[in-house]
Formats: sequence, C-alpha cells, structure tokens
Amino acid sequence: MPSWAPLAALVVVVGLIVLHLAVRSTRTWVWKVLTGLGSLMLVALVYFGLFWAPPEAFMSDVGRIIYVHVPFVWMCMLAFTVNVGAALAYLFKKSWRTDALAESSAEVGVFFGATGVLMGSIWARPTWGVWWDWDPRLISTTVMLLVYVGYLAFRSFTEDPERRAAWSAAAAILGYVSLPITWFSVQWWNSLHQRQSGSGTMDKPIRVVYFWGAVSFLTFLFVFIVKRYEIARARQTGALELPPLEAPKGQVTT
Amino acid sequence: MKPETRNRLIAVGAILVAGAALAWIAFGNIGDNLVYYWKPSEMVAQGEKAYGATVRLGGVVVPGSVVWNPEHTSLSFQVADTHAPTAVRVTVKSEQTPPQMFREGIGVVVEGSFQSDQVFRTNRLMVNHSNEYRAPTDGGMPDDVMKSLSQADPQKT
Amino acid sequence: MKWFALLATLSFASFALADIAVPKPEPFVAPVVAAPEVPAVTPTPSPAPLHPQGIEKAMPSMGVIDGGWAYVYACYFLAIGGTFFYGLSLFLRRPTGPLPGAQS
Repeated sequence: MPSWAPLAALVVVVGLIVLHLAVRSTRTWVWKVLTGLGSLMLVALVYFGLFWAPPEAFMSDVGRIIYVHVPFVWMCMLAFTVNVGAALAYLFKKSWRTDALAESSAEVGVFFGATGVLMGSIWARPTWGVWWDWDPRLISTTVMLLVYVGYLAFRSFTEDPERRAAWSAAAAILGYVSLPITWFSVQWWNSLHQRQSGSGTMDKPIRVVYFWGAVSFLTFLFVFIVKRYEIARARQTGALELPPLEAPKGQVTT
Repeated sequence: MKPETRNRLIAVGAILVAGAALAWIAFGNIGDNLVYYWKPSEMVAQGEKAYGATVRLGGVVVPGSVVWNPEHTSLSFQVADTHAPTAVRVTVKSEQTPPQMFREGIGVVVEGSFQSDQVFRTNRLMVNHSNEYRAPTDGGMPDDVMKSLSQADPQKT
Repeated sequence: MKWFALLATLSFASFALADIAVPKPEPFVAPVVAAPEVPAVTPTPSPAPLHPQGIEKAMPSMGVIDGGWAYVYACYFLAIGGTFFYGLSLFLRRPTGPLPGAQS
C-alpha cells in the first residue's frame, strides 16, 4: 500500500463531506449515488475477495479476511480524523454544523472500529492460534475505541449544548492522541500484530482487492457520516431548541 | 472572557497537552517499561532473575529444531532472536497442538516460564504472521490465472 | 442502542459458528534430522505445477492453514451485516415530522 493512500482517502472523504455541507444541490443525490456505488462494489468485493483473489501462501483462504478487516479499521481512523478536524474547527470558529459533524464522525468511527476489531479477533484464532492477546496494537486499539465511546457518552450526558460542544471538542483533541499511538504501536514496540504492509510486501492481485475493499467502504463512510450528521442537526435544532445557524431546507428524504 | 476567546484557549491548551503526551510516548523511554515479550537474548541475560516468572518470549523457530510427538502432544523447539545462525537460542516445550501455521522459521510468541533447567515451558503458543501477503507459488489457483497475473506484474518475484 | 445490541448478538453467533468449525490440524511429523533448506517450496517456475491439488493439499504439515472458511464467512458476514444494520439504524433514526428550522 503506498504511504500516501490513507492521506488520499482522507482528502476524498473530507472533500465529499465539505461538498455535501456547502453545496445544497448535491445533498439530495450524491449520497444516493455513492450508496448505490458502494453496494455494487461491496457485492463485487465478495466475489473478488472470496473467489477471484488467490489464497495467501501460508494463511491460505483465511488470508481473505484482510480485504474486510483492514478497510474497516482504516475507515475507523479516517472517521476519527474527521472528528478531530471538526472539533478544531468548532473551537476556532463556533458553528453547530462542525459540532454535529464531530458527533456523527465519532459514532461512525466507533462502529467501524468495533466491527474491525471483532473481525481481527476472528482472524487471529486460526492464524495466531488465540482469539485475543494483550499485545501493544490490540491494547492501543482497545484504548482508542474506549476513548471515543467515552466521548460519545460524555456528549449524551451533557445537557448544556454550549458546554457539550466546547468540552467535547477539547476531549476530541486529547482523545486523538490515541490514534497515532495505535498506528505506530507495531513499529514502536514488539508486537504479535504484523506491521503495516506496503506495495512491496503484497502480491499484486491481493493488493488490488485490498484497495477495492478500502474504496468500497470509503463510500459507506461518507454516507454514514452525512446521514448521521443530519440526525445530529435535527436534534440540535429540534429537541434542544437552538437558534439554527443555517436552516436545513427540507432536503432530508423520508 | 468572550466565548470565542475561551474556545480558542481550550483548543490551544488541548493541542499542547495532546502534543506533549504524544511526544512523551513516542520519544520518551516508555517503551522500555512496556515490554510485550522478551527476546531469547534478553531473557538469558536476566540470568536467574528470569526463572519462574510468567513471561512472554518471542522470536523465530530455529529450523531443524522442531520435535513433535502427536501421540503425546508434546512439542519441543528452539526459539532464536533472529534467523542468524549465531543468535541466542532458548528451548521451548509445549504440551499443546500448535496452530496450523507453526513451522520452522516462523515468528512465535510463547507465554510461560523459564526454568532453571534452561527450558521454557509454555501453555500458550502463538504464531505471528509477517506483513507479507503472497500468492502460493503453485497450485491453489488455476494456472492460466497465475500466468495472466505474472504477466501483469513482471516485477513479481 | 438496540441495533448495536443486535449486531453484538449476531457477532457472537458468528464467533460460535467459527468455533465449532475449528479445523482439526493434520498431525504432522516434523523432521527430526536437521533440514537446512526446504527446496520443495522454493518457487521454481515450471510449466507443470508441482502440486496439482494445490500446495495446501500436498503438504498439510508445512505450516499452511487448511480450510478455515468459517472464519472467512464470519468476517464477511460481519462486514456486510454490520454495514447493512448500521445503515438501517441511521434510516430508522432519520429526522421525521416537520423539519426543524424549515420554515424559519
């Protein structure tokens, strides 16, 4: 995997989110197109991953889990990066939209992260021989997910929207420290988990399907974040009776 | 204080604390205290202090050292720091059926204790996979697919 | 929350499924004599495959996982099921009624 790939994925998903928030006319159709595209790519991923791709030399067919496990954890990390970006934006220029974006990206990230960790655990059983072991990568990932679960809990328990937005943004910045630790844990410490793969350590067919899986779930990352964002916006403007900074124009389909 | 000013102060404070925490973990000597496993050389260097405690030992399985008795499920092999022939080795004994990927030369992490007879007895044997994902060199997939793939990527070894 | 609970239940179901299907490792007899190299595995490009049934079948004892499809199915099930159910939860939580702020 080229080292710029995570950055490219981040640019794409942030670009799409900004487009969705800034250009009203795209809100009704872009997410539908991407949901359709993502669904088709997901169906194709099942074919590519389970049948087209070769088995791995030693893991054999069990190695096919990489096509879903790694993209899920990537999407989790991308979502948390969107979260910290939204938190910073909120603190420097107060807006209920970035507050809602921070909330939605954190929840989507927890979904992807928890599912990805579960898949990793299933993968570990036949390869490592155990379901779980407290190696640095697994510890740091668990801590990272717990941090964001705590972040969401903090948000849901704080009544005052001003306080919630400001202090959860501070918590988001502090919590984001767990992400580089998770990413680099396999390089800094001895671990059972393998290091990040690069283009040189993956045969071409495996790499291509791996990329395909990442792009498929990237579309769902975008759709989930913007749909969750609309829920968060509706809660802000409705239940909390906040003065809407920017009124949504009934674009939400039912 | 205006709310905007307060928010920016919160942001700057949080960034400073987060940056300091990250720098401390990345560049401090926290890694010396957080040891997931010892290498054979590190464990042997501890001398008698290493005996008895439940620890993890990690390294590679020395080729030619594996003795496996399926009837009594007794497994014995040597673990070395690296693949170098001069690397320090420790004998490991296990009463478990090893994971299927267990083979000579693969990385393993074993949990157990080192005894004064210089044998590491374990009841938890884990095999780690490298970050290399390779197609099988033959078999496993149709030959025509193999051919088209190897033509598609001439750099493939 | 209930969707997460459902997801968790399904996940554990897939765990159980995978556990039942733990592939029985073939008893393997490791060479007692030192084998300095493994020439059989070295990739020698030849027109005819060395192991027509696949390397996994030919040498079940050489550290290659045999089977284990239950784990793969469990993970793909989680990936597709998780995506579907999270999407469904977003759909069920969608803003309804008169849209807030629509008339202001």
